[in-house]
Amino acid sequence: MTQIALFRLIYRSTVAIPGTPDQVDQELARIVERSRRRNAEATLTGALVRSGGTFIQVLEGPLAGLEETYDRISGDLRHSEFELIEFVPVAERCFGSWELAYLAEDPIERSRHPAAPDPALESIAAQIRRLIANGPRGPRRAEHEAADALAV
Amino acid sequence: MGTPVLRIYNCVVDQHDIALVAAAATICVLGCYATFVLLQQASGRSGRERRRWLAGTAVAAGISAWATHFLAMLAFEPGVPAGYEPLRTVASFVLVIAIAYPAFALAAGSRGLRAAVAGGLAGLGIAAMHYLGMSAYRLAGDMVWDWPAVVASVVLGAALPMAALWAAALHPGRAGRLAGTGLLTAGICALHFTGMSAVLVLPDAAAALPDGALSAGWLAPFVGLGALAILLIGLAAAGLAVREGQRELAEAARTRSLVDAAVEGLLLCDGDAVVTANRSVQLLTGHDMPWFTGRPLREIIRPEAAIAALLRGDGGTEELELLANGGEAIPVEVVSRPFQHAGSTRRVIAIRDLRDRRRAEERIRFLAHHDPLTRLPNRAGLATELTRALDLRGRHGGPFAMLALDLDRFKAVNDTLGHAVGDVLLSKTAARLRNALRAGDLVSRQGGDEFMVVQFEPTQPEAATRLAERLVELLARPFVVDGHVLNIGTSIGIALFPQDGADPATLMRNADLALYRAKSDGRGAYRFFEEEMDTRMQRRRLLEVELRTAMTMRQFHLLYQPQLSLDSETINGFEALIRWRHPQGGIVSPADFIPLAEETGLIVPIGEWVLREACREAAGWATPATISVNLSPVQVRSPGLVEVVRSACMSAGLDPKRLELEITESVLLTGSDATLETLRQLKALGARISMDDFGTGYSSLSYLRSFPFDKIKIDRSFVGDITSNGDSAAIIRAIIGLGRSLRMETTVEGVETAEQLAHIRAEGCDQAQGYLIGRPLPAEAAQAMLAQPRAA
Repeated sequence: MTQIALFRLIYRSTVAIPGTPDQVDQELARIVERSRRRNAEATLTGALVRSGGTFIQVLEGPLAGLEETYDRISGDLRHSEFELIEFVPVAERCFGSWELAYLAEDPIERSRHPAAPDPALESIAAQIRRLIANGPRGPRRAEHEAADALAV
Repeated sequence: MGTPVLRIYNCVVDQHDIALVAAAATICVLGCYATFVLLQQASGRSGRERRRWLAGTAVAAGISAWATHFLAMLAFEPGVPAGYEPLRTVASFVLVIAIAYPAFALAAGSRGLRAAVAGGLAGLGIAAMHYLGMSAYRLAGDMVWDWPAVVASVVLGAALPMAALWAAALHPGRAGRLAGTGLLTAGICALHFTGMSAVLVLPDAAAALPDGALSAGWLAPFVGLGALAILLIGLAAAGLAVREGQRELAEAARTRSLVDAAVEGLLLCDGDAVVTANRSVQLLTGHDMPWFTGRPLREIIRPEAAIAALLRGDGGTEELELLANGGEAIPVEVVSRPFQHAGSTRRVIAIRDLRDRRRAEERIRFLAHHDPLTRLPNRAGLATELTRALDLRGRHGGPFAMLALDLDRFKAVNDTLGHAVGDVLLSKTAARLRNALRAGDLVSRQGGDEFMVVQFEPTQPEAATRLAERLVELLARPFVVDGHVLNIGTSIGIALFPQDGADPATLMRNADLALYRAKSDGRGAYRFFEEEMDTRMQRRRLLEVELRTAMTMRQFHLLYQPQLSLDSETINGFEALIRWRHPQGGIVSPADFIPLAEETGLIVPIGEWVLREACREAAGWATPATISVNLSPVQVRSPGLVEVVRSACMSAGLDPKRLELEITESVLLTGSDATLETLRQLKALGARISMDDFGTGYSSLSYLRSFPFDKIKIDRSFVGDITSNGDSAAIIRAIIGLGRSLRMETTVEGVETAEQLAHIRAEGCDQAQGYLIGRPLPAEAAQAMLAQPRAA
């Protein structure tokens, strides 16, 4: 791999896809499918965790591709209560070769497949928990001071 | 051998020396060719030159006919001695030239019947020469004439030259020369041999050659030389003709390459059919030259109705369409002009491709109506699109909403990260806005960080509320530009059609007013327009106009509030306070007009006036009391403040040490180096700088550290309950202590009672100001107060 600066973004948002739960699931499956293809093209890796109506997504890769993908995600109206947790330079990737690991931590989904937890997915879930637990390094929401427009 | 043709054949073959006949024919061909070369030269000329070329033509024709005749006669073997009578022989030569000259003069430059008549005349001249020549022929015997054959020879001898000149006139070039040469040669030969076949020689052995007849042998070199001369003339003429031809070819090639090199397309037309098309037209249409030749214009240029006018036109331009090979109609500008070509009127049509110009016009139109950065419509573009949308829906169509957006923290991004990042941010904002709208809604960039959205949705205000919430949420999401995370957010003002305005301009204005309210109510919000906003804005606008008038009409004056030194118990300073005497409204409080003056920038000239007026007044005082003047943050940031202060002191003759400039914390809030530099320069002039209203607002101690103030003025709010409230007393004590340790004087404002004065005096305050000491006074009263120091 060449020495291109790597960045990582983490955001949290709430699903805002209209329709029945089945339709929402189908739409999500389509989004994940498309994302994986695009991420592969932009050499991005990461994971998408869904817990009920909440998304947490981690994406990492070269800045240009990551920023372009972020532009698309941040302009998407199919989710709301969007919160950018971090967008920071990192030394190395956390998600190796995963174009987009998808974890649906839906309780109902779980109960349907009580056995056979995938060890790889479990380790990714643990990874994300660790990343988020490391503290919100994201933007502070200061409204008054102009300099706060540039939170890092 | 009964038939005439056979008789001629026998005459040539049996009675002639074939080698000499061939020589005669060769000379005849050469001479005839020379004749036509020279004739063509004569045709293109006039006057003396023409006559010279015509003479050459006549001589060439005469010599060729005459030499052919006598060479052929030398080839004639009558079987008895023969000779020639010299006078007639010479006369026949002169005769043919004499007749040929007018004949060719008639022929040169003419066509058709005239040329044929000229040919006939020349042919008769040659026939006359032949028979005059025959009458000079002497031989030992008698000649018996077959008269029908004689007539036939004359007819042929006239008819073939007729055809020769007629054909030569048809094609004024090589083809004409060759046709003429062939026919004239045929004419001369036909005349001669038909004429000879009409002669029957009856030898008379007893008869001797008459006296005076020259022998045939003597004639041979003479005729040979003549033939040579003809050959030379012929060659020279041919050479000239070749050179001429080459020049014509070169000329044609030059013209062709010039025509092809022309950037404009050129079509040469005869009537409505194309004769030739240059390379530009070929490239433009994708058709090759053979396609064009003979093609009617209506298959090339559209609309067909314009072609007739085009073919009549003379230099006027028209915008038409050119049909290309693929069926594309190319917009072109067309000019048509008639021109003369080889005696006939033709037309040249110049064609200019307008596609580049159209594209440029399209681009200009786009640029005029769009913002190049975001590619959204601009202000003008929105107006155009809005008008179009309204026309489409009908003026009285359903309600719609107009949303004015303004990014909340864009300026900070632009100022700190630069315009390049700011520009990318605007593009990304535009992309998000586009994303959030339905097809049919409009979005434009009005300039700077202002956008306008038009929502065509009848269920108002619910739809606009949803959209505004969506947009606020969408733009509150952070942006990432070059790895920088940027939080900007937006405020939105909404005006609804038709209740908030019947036309786009009013709606935009009212949406802006609502936006103004949304911003002042705290950002990241949206507000609907209300009538009250308009009234307030109008009042504000009126006040602004009046404020400008006040400046020019000198409606301001200053009052001076005394400051008591607690050390010396004397009045040792005054604070200058501005008042506005409004012609109708009486005295207007500074609180009512200073904020507006700051917003509009009018504070700068007003502040300058205050400085000059206060300095002038203080310079006339009996004691060197200080004069305090308030500076607004806008003034401190304005360039040239230092110069204004210097000049105010100098022109008033006031020692800058007596000038005290009061600033509030808000001046330091922006914390820029430029502000501190301005304060430092003011201090370097000698002026004192005091911190006004301390204790309210941020009261940050870091501000006191950031600049060496000369004085701290403690806000009036603390002294009010100093005798009853322990906290206030503690704060005043702390600030006074702080001032002492930082070596800054302290003044307490708003002292109204003797108890308050006693209290602060006990705390060690340096100076007191308030109604107890004195209300703001007119200039004269202030002067009087200084003249009679008050006893404490």
